[in-house]
Amino acid sequence: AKDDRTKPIAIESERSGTYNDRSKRVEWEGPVLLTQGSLQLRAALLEVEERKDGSHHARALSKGGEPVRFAQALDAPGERLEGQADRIEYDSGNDTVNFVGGALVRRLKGAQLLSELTGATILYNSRTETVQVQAGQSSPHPQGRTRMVMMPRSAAASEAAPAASAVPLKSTPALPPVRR
Amino acid sequence: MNAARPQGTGSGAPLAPLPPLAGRSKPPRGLWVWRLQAWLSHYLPLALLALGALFTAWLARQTPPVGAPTVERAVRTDPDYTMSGFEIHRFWPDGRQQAWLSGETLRHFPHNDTIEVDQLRLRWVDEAGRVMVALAQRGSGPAKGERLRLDGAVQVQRFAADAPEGAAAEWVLNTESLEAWGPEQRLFSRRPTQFQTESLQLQATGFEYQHRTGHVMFQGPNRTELQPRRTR
Repeated sequence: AKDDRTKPIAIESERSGTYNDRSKRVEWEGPVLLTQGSLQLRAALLEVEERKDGSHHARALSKGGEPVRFAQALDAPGERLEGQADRIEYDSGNDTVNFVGGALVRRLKGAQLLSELTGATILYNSRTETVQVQAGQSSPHPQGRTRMVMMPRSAAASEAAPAASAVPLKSTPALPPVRR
Repeated sequence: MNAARPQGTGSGAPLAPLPPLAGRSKPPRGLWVWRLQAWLSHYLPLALLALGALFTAWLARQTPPVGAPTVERAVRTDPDYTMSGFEIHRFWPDGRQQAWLSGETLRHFPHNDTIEVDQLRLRWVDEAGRVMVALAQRGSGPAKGERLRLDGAVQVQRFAADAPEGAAAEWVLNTESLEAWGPEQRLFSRRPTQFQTESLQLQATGFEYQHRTGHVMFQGPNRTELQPRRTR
């Protein structure tokens, strides 16, 4: 959600964390959970670096095959984005989330899948809610291809939609002759 | 009642009693004094000699043998000196000031050569000019100062090397007690710790700081909050 970036970033770690006062970088050993508003990032290792302008660059790494997981609510009510990858980089300066290595991003509404994207790397901009996907060897598909699945709006969803025009139609027994 | 008579020597006629000595009469009480005088004149020298021998034996026993370890006198456990409103300075080999230790009262204990400081303030500058300031209600440790334990509202602040006077610290750490090891340039504590920089606040269950590398390692579980400082 857009207002996530105005919220503080909270990081909780079960094990140790190290702050380097020379590089202003903090590293945590997991399991680590980073939250900022509705944004959530779970990883085995997390590094956060503070930049001069006060923005932060977070780098979440996986360990032992367990991928890094990401979730964030979207502005559309009830919709959210979920994703996973070998490495996820979050930049609070330009609000981008970069999924690197076996990247998978899903857009869901409640439990219903709206679309799914897989590839080598996926770049998601949470400010514009746009997604870019790149092919590459680390894509889970043959020849490193990307793949996008868009779910049709289900029939149930379309009936629920109201009629296009709201004007009630009247029936007339006979139509007046058409004068040429 | 017949008095007991001395026996004769065969002629049967009873013996006449002996005449008194030199004209002194010896009543029974004079006999006892005489005997005492006789006994003293015989045994007094011997008694004096025995007394002298006993005294010499006692004296020999009291005198510690030559070269034997002397008995440690119980060293006092109260402070042998105290200083109030004091300040102690220490310098690097090149003459630059390394440390200022000041406080309300300093007490020195001779039995283990340690010091105790109330309301301690320690300012320390490393070779590169980075400054550390530590405050605590109480400090204690060996008098040489290579180790120091800080207790009670302990706060440590770290300033940049070229920080002007009055500049904000790069980070501030608060805990209940910690150990400071000088030669290793290391601080550590197993007590709950709160650590803060300009944009980060961290709570942990303990920490260890290695000044040479600049690493502050926090024990888990720990929680950190990063303030978003963007205006866009």
